[in-house]
Amino acid sequence: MGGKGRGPLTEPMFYVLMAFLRQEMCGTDIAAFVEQKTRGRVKLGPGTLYTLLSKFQDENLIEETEVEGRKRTYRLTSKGRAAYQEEVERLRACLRDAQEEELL
Amino acid sequence: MIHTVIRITPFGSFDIPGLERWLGSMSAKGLRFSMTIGPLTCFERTDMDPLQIHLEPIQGSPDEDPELNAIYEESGWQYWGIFRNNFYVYASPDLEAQAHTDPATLDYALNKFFRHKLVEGVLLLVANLLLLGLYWQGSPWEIDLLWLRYYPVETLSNGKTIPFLLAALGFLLLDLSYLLGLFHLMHYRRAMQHGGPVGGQPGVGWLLAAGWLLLLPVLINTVQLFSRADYRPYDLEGSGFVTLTDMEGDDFRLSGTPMYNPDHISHGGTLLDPEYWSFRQYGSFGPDQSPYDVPHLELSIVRYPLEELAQLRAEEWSRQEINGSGEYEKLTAEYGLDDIYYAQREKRIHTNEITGEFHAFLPGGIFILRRENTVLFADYYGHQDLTGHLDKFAAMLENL
Repeated sequence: MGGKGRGPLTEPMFYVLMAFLRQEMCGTDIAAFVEQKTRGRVKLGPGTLYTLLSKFQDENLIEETEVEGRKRTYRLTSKGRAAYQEEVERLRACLRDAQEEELL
Repeated sequence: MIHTVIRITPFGSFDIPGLERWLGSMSAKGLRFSMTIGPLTCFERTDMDPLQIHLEPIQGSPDEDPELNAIYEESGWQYWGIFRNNFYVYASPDLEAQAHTDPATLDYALNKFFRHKLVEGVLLLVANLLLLGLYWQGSPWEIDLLWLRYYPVETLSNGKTIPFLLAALGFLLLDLSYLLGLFHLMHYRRAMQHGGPVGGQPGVGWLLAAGWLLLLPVLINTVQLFSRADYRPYDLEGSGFVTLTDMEGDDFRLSGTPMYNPDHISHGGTLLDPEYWSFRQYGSFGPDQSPYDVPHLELSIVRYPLEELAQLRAEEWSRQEINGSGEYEKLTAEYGLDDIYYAQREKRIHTNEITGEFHAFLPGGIFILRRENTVLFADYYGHQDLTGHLDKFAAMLENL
């Protein structure tokens, strides 16, 4: 699940990566982004967010760019972007399969 | 004024559900988690509404993480502190609040934490070996068990055996508590993955507390050894110790060698090694003489933590014949002494069976004196009557 074998990402993982697509972001802004983007459908608990930031850093999917007071800012790495794209492709394939099935 | 309350933590170090529930129940009693000290948890008494407690496993170095606190505060959680370098403690007034909303991510966090604690377990094992290795000479495999049977006080007060036994038992409890903690963590992780009861196991914390209680004196003892606080010699002058001059007269010539006529009293001891004093003094001897050809006095004193131990030690000493000391006679207690054993040593000729050479040993005597919890062993070689100096030895013990 989004680990080194890189299976499908869970929804919180997917949306946290998505949060970094357009801009660098600090941890506290991510929860608000996910809340807004999913209209509250995906809940991102603080423990989950903290663990994901740590996990993504360990896996070089994101990197820290700035520390200002209590805020740390991160950006997506090329590896992180590739992982996100890979997941998007997977989801597109799923959707395609589902649509094909519905048309039959 | 902050009112601090201290409790022994009843749950194991990694028992997340048990600790969360316990800290929650303490907060319901108005006790807010503040910090941990070994097996103890400190609380501050304050008025609070019921709270939900969450323990976030620390993934890296156990420092306060401002970013993490900010993330939690954004979600309505309040940071309370660090629990035993293992968890960040957060509290929320929302009893339904969820800190972890993704089981896969929680599993990752628990797995990483578990692996981290496994490595720390290896370090704990190394600490086991280092401390036990330091006191290995006192292990049951190294001490003379027959000697232990007949002279238990002497054997056990060698400064190594008691620390070794305390350390071995302390580490056994500590390691057991650690292993149970890892087991509970594994069980919790499985329950989070597949569902199932997550209760927490009270009692494991008591193993840790008992382990610390046993290890604490050993650690203090070790610090004393390494800081050289175990050896505190002081000047002979003004010490009140009986010297050869007191016994042989002012004209008696003492050895000029510091080894045979030191100017200080050897003195030391640690928390687990009874306080001791030792001193020896030899007369001057020529190049064709040995130190045993001239009058000399050797003193050894031990102060035990209990009077009963001192009494036993005096009795043990009185059963040991030293250089033809012969039988000990128990004299009537006087001069404030509780036990007086005396053995007179006759002049002795020793003949070497191979070379046929003979050697004459000086006469003398041995005193074993006890005053309360202090025992003195005085071995004198010379022509003076040791019993005539009993008052001096008694005064010396009284002034120690």
